[in-house]
Amino acid sequence: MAYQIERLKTDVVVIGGGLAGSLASIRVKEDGADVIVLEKANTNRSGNAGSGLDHMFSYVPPVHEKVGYTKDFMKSDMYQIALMGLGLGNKKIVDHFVDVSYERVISLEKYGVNFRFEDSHLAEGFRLVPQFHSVPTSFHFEGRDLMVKLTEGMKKAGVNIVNHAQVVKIIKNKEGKASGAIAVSDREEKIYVVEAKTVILTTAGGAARVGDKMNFENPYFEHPSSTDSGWGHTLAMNAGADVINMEFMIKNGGLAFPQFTFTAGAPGGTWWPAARVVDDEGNVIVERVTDYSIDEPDYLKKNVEMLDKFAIQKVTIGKLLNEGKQLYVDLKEATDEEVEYIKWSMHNEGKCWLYLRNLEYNNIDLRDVKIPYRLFRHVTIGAGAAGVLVNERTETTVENLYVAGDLMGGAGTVGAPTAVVYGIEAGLQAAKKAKETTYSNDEFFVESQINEVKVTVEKLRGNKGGEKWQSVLERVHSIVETFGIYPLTDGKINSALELIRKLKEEVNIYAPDDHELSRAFEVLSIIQTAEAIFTAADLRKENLGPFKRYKDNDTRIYGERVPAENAVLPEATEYGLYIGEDGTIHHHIHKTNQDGGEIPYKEQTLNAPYIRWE
Amino acid sequence: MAVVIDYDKCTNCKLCYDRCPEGLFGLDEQGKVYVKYQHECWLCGACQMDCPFGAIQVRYEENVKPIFLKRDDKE
Ligand SMILES: Cc1cc2nc3c(=O)[nH]c(=O)nc-3n(C[C@H](O)[C@H](O)[C@H](O)COP(=O)(O)OP(=O)(O)OC[C@H]3O[C@@H](n4cnc5c(N)ncnc54)[C@H](O)[C@@H]3O)c2cc1C
Ligand code: SF4
Ligand code: SF4
Repeated sequence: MAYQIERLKTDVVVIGGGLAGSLASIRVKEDGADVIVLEKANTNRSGNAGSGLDHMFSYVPPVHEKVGYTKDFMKSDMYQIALMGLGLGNKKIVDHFVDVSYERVISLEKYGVNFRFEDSHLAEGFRLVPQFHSVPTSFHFEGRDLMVKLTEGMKKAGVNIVNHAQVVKIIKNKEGKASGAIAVSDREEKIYVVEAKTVILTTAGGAARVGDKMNFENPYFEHPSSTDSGWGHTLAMNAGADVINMEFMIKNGGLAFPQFTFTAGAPGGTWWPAARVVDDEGNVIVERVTDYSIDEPDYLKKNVEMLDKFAIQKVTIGKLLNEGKQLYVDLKEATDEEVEYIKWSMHNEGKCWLYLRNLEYNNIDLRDVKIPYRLFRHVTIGAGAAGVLVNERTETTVENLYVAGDLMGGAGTVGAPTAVVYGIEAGLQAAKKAKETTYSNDEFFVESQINEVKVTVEKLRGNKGGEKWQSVLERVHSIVETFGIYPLTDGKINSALELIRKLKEEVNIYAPDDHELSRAFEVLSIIQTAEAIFTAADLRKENLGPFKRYKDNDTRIYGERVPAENAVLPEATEYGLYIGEDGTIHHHIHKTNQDGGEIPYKEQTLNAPYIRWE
Repeated sequence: MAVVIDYDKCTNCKLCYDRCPEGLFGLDEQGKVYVKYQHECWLCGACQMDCPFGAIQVRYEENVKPIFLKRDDKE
């Protein structure tokens, strides 16, 4: 095996050319710095947004101002989403999001994405649908080919895209600052080494593969496997950056977000508002919502009431699934016009396009079927609060390393809007910093990091007696399935950690070709992610909202909503995990003090006394 | 369930090979595209969407895993 090394140099390197990464890279170019994007697949169709998006929330002044829905109102809505409501998250990330969302989301029109429709009854020709805010906030738009269009945009802007390059390591200089990335090709025997002044990490933040199969037999698999292997977390942790709230990535089933397979969602997602949720006896658990006219008096009040009811119904969905009830998405009551509209949105939303083609193939109308929910048993990507600790400038606890998109920790909710807003932010910040920075790599130091990767590659490729990646993954799943069941106890956590660490030491994978090499690397990341999840669970001693450690199985994430004026963010503890010099997991403790507004940013974290895990 | 290439239509342009986000197409000894890692498909549909010659079909049906169930209360 003769892996060839290709050395490249640029101002900013972007790891992961998905939604956030592509927008970040264009922004870097616009700000006059050079940029290379390292993408493990192909930016045209990779990542969560690869086969399309149909909705994206934003503060929309021309509509929202008219109905009295203020920016502050939207912020307080978002303080209550998921873990944010428990104090796990960063208020400033939410605030900044709301402040700049409109201009950034709508800037996608520049790339030829359509947001305006002649039959619209709203200002500017927009279509808005409800998602989790007190009034409809989500643009319904034509985003099926968004990534194809952004790829064209990147090329026009002069971004250097390197596809089929999976990053396996962030390069650091002697001062511990991020200064490049090392990627391995899945097409040829090649290792890319990119030196840069600043680094943007946007690999998305899922880790469902820690507990769930990704394959044909599991069509429920929600996110692309390449973004669901915990890659972002482990790349960041290994670079010394803090990753927070990992314990929330493992949870029991029956969450309030037990979405239908292809993230189409039921009520709350794309199929809104004509879908209902029913049980086996035909009882309606979640009724269809009303699309109130914006001119109706009390528009805001009516929507708030509907949302409050919906929040409670979501909890009910979780409970019923947990009790073993089967629930279905059901469109029986939809009118022809509504079905056409739903088909239009499904055409644009990832995976749903294919679902429509298959319904056609089977000669089935949407109203002829019930779509079963699935109980997610273990790990989901759900927790928007879990991810790399960042501030609203996308800075991390490692200098010159920026993180945006689904991988952000403390964002409250992640999704396309966060990826757009903070992808652009990361581009802006990383370009600015790159201009003030000089190359700082010590050749010998870089060589040793390249060598580390080379040794791993050669071992995996040459290790003919080793296991297949699939069978190692099975072993991780066995551990998670056995010990990751709620309620978690010290005993379960310790057993899991012991077995994971043993597996980490013994692991011996054989990758017969370049493709399987990339899978083998993913499995190594999955093992480390599993270790981080159980380590974080071990640290978290108190019961906090959905994270019930010793008590009952309440997996509530969405509680009852507090009216906007009473929304107060509690204080909470976050455990920031990172890999220390000795190669093992350490942690910092961060106190979130939302109302004082001070989240432990880089400056504070490094100066603050922190407790070592020893 | 399967990703199926119709070789009567396929011109071997390799677009699917280049774009599949899970890298599951391969090239055989003659350099011809084929579905190499069927099992790793995440059913995104990109290959079927983008194939310039309509040569790919990604198929699933209700009985494999219940993705949809036909209603029994259909009027
Ligand atoms: C089917 C589906 C439909 C969705 N629909 C909507 C919607 O309508 N509205 C909405 O708000 N949200 C939606 N989402 C969520 C939304 O797509 C994501 O929140 C968004 O794409 C996240 O952007 P990102 O840039 O963080 O990650 P991604 O867009 O997933 O990009 C991550 C990129 O990193 C690459 N990568 C991963 N690891 C590496 C590595 N080690 N080296 C190099 N590259 C790597 C991946 O290949 C990928 O291209 C949907 C998600 C799915 C799965
Ligand atoms: S994209 Fe279509 S025509 Fe091109 S190689 Fe693939 S199957 Fe054949
Ligand atoms: S459906 Fe998506 S993952 Fe499956 S083969 Fe086609 S492009 Fe690849």
